Amino acid sequence: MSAEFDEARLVRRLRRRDEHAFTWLVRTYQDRVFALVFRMLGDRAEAEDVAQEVFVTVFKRIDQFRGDSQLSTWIYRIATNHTRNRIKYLGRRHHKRKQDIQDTRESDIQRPMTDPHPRPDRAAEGRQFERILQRALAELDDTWREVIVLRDVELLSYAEIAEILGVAEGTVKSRLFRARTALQQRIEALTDG
Amino acid sequence: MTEIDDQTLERIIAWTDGELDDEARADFEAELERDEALREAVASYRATLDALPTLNVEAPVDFEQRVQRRIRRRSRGRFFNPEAQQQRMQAAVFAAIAALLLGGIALFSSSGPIRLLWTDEGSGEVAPGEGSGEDATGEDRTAPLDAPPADEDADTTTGDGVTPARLTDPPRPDPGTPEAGSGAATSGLETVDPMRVSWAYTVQTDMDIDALRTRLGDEFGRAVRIADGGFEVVVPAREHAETLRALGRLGEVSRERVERPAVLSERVFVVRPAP
Repeated sequence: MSAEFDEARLVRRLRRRDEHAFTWLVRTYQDRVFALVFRMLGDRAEAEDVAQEVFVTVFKRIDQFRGDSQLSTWIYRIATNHTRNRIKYLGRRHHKRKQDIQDTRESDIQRPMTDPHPRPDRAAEGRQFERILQRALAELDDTWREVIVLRDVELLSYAEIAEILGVAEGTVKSRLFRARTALQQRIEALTDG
Repeated sequence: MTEIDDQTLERIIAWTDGELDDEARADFEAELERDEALREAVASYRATLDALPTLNVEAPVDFEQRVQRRIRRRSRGRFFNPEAQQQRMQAAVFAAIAALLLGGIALFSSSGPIRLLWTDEGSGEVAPGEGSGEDATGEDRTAPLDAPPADEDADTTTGDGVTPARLTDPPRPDPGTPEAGSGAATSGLETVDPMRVSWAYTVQTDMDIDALRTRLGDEFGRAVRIADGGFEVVVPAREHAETLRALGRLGEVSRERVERPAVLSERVFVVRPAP
């Protein structure tokens, strides 16, 4: 967090509905929130809508932030709740989810900076593996996908995930174990198939 | 890809997460040395883990503007609206001028000094221990986007902490405060000496003076000034409630009603270290 906005000061300014502070917050968290929501929903248009709602909620409800956890954890919790609600809503409407997962645009993916010019054959292999990974992830049960995205995509700690999901750390670990096992098995099946 | 049974996968995950004890880890690593299939399985699992963070995606380029538009629409133009911002500034300037004019007229038409009828009670904030815990109750205190924020008392005032209506309201009885002026009322304004009925807040903390100086400096910056036996935190009136909450985290806050000369747009909190 920048010196301009240490967390306590940022929260004070957000509570005053300081637009400059809120804009800074959106710029800082928009990619993380969008990625989380998109990976959970698998639908770009729905993800954009939900991610925007997350920030509207932050703007509206910042007075409810107690400061017991980090602000980022609180934002992730809002994002997770909004996403779960949307999944339920779409489920009721028999919405066809996950259609965008396989269609993730090349330019959307954040690639590691270590190899900016990979060999074409390796790059093609990598893209193929990414597609398999995306599909395997999309096919996971929502509860498992949620924990994989928070831990292995967003790289949050067990404690943060426990806080966000409102479960014990032990539950996070066991859920993650099952999720990773299922993901790995799904990848193997897709690779062999 | 190598077929992995559940038990092997469980060990691989525990090893990758560093959750095996020394003996189990040594056993696993020895097995890894001699078992090519296990090495392949570990490599495959790691490839999955390494690839997952690359699945991150970026928000659309105009995401920020879309969020702002949504808030502007829901707040009926109250936020993220340059025109409304300009109008608010003009209104604040106009209100300040009007307040000055009213004050001037009242001064000339009264027989003595004037007390503007403002007390902290009107600003909606509550002292710690009286239900001011920001969300301890879990209650949604946030106003809808088309209403002023709950803790922004400045929004209902002329900008200097004075609610305009109060200028003509009859004086409220104040049993806790000595009757400082019983002079005749003029033009609806109480004509007493220029003392303001207010709360004096004192925070007694266990921190030593140096730690307290650093903490207050970090939290409030230039708003802190040295006072007798401690520090004073001087903040704009609209930050009263937040400041109370912040100071409440340092130690016990007590308050008493006093009459004193004060700048209406400011709040002063006295913070004292442990003796």
